[in-house]
Amino acid sequence: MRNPEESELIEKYLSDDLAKEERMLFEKRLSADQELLEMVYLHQTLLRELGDAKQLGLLNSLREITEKPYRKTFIPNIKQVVTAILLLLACIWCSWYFLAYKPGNSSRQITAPEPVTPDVAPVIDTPKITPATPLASLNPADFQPNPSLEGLVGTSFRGDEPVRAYFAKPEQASRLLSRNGAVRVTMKGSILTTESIVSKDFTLIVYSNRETDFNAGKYLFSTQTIIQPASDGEFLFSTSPLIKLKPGLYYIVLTETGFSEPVAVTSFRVEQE
Amino acid sequence: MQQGDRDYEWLEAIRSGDKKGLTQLYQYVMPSIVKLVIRYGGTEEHARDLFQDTILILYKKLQYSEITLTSSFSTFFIAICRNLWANHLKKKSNNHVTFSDDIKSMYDDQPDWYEVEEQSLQTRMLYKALNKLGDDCRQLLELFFQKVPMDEIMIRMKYGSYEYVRRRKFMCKNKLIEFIKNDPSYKELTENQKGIL
Repeated sequence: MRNPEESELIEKYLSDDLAKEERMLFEKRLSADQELLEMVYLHQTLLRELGDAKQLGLLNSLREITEKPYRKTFIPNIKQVVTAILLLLACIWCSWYFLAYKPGNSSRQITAPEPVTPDVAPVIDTPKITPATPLASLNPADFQPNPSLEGLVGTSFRGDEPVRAYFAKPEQASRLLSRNGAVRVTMKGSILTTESIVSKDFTLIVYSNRETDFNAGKYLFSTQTIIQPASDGEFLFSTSPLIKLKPGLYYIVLTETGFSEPVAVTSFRVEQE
Repeated sequence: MQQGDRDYEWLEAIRSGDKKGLTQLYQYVMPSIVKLVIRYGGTEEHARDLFQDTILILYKKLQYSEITLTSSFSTFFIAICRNLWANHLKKKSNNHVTFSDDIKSMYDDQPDWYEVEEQSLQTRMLYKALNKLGDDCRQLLELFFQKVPMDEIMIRMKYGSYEYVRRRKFMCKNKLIEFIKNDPSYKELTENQKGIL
């Protein structure tokens, strides 16, 4: 624009404030003056676009808003909510599991030596516990009698030596309850003999009902028991270890250390509490 | 609150110019816009411009018609941004830029979208030029464009005389026009306006 007068003339033309003659004269100028025409276009656009107070308010708000740093507002969708719940449940379960089975929790801790064959049972003072057997759901096969051991249940004589033994506990085919996968197995009984056996060692071995395991010498628990003289010709043995056993049928075999023939055999069933 | 409710609340915030709602929307969509723009060679400043352009397009559209959402609002919003950015790149490089199919379909269904988009970009160009002026000039022109009488402008701006208001207005308007003419998109504006006048 060349001067304020021309600017005002454009404003008056656009607001229709020119007299008829003035308007005709101005339009004649417009047709010949490209620069003036361009100014009219621009004025018209400015008045329309910047003259809208509401729109200008919006533009001012946007300018202020976008001057601020942005950060994403976290609004979770359903997938994120479900994932978060699952993660939370997993964390709770893990916490419970580690607290329940952490080392030092005596009611559940089962440690055991490497299984050895009954003939070379380790010499120990305290009962040793075999590797943990995971608690499994009830399986009828676990309650099937072991034919190789079933026939030996009771007492027997080893060779021609007059040694007999009896299990007072567990009684034959008794039922023991497992708690958190472990069972307190009280093995108690007496050995009757006419000869002195104080210097002899006896071993208590727990077998599963699997005949193949028994024939292969695989056992679940083994401990050397200390015998105490009770009366003339009678010696007592007693031990009460906590063994991790899943529900099923089990056999306890008492043998004189170094000999494979059982002196006494009993069986018991483990059921879940 | 359901997703759909929030979507329509954002549309309402744009229609009414509600600053709180617009701020929430800015916080929600900006990370996606910035990611999009930076991936195609732009900057955060471009992303801010895109956000403002898109809001203005929707505002203009909502002044005379409704918008029916066929996807979530944020998806719809980002699609408009993507389209604007594609057009910007196209103008800049003269290269073929893939047009967003969903938006193209929406624009083709309602051709006034093209017009609204063009007009919004022009408005933003003028507004940016206005903001390059000093506060005094900007306030004076804002009052003038809103058709506030000159004597009232004189009082509100605390100017000493009517003649000073005239001169000051002329000077500020010339400065504004200079900024506008220096804007690369000015040529397009004048060409399009010729058909309207």
